[in-house]
Amino acid sequence: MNEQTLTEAEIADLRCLAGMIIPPSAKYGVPGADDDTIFSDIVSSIGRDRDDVCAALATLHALAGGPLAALGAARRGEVAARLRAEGGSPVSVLTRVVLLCYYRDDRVMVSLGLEARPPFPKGHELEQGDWSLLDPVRARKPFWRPAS
Amino acid sequence: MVYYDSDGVEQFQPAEVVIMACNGVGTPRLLLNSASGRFPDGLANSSGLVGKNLMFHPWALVNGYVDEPMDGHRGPPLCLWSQEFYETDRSRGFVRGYNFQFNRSIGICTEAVYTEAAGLVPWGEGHHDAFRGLVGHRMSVGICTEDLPEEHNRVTLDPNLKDLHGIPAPRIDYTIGENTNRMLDFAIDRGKEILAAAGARHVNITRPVVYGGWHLLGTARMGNDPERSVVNSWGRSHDVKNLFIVDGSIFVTSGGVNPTCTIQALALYIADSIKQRLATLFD
Repeated sequence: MNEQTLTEAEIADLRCLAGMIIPPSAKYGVPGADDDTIFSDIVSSIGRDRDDVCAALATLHALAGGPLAALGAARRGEVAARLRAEGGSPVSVLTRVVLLCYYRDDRVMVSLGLEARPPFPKGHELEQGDWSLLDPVRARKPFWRPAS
Repeated sequence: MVYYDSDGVEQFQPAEVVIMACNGVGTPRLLLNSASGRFPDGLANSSGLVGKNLMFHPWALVNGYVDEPMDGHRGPPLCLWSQEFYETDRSRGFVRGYNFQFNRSIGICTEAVYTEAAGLVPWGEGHHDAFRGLVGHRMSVGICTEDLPEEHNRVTLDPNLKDLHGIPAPRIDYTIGENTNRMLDFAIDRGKEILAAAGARHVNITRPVVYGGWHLLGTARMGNDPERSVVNSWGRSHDVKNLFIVDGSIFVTSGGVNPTCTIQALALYIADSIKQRLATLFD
């Protein structure tokens, strides 16, 4: 549904930028944020952030003087750096959407050593800490006022 | 009591006792909007203090990253509190104090957003190495300050903005006070010392935290003096003897903790006081 709220040109610019913010990594075996599955999640998750995302993409378009993907790699890098430095709150919002969708992707979570699931309802079993660290705290005199 | 229902139709609800629980903005808005010939400055407002002394409990965060895995994504990130600096010590340069709240990292999505916004993680090729060196290693010292009443911090009725029923909306004027700012200075320095002792790197400060610490308190304060307070020591309005307030607006200082448990305790205390005084409730 949200896909329809962005133009084809905006979607193309967003995808190119997402891949520049988080490129794929052979070292860690992870896709970039322009991966089909992740980018689909990004576009469908824009929701209430649409106005800010569109504002950021308008700034991007103006800085690039046209489609971002049409620029050479060096010029794209310059445009992205300027966008990040000067784009203000709308760029922060766009970046947040990209990051949130990227880091909830199952492949990315597994590569970080995490289980590809939400913490609830299964939860996690935690090892006990060293409770004796609190012994000096328990032993000292109260520093608070007694209830009157 | 007169109110508008969801269709905008005026309704009258008779009541022996009215108990308000609209908190630090809703309660003064309702009282100030209830002005009448008998109460020209707003209901229960002979003191002129309804809406004044708005308080929050401004937060700051001192963040750093340690070598040890903090494991916060597997359990509650909040793991320790300290009230060592909660009580007044005038040698610190301020009165009252603050609560330290220690967090042991956060989930990866929130960490990704935070580290990028803090400039700790670049866009592009360096992203993965930088982020993987930080995620799961954050140690965060939260600072919850006790705010003090200042009459210029206030809720009034907006002269222009109205809700969909045409009822004036609240207007909020607030600046963080000098005492609270000195408290934040002191607390941030202590937080830096704690993180330095823990060997943290990339220490950075968030002050104030924009997404937390803004509970709405103090705009119908409790007290014995009708000229300096809105409700008495058991929550009854000084001016309107069948009107009680059981929310955060009756706080006299903000407290340096989240206020919900205290609000609940006050509500239970006031309900019990009403019950104990039924025969003389309106005296």
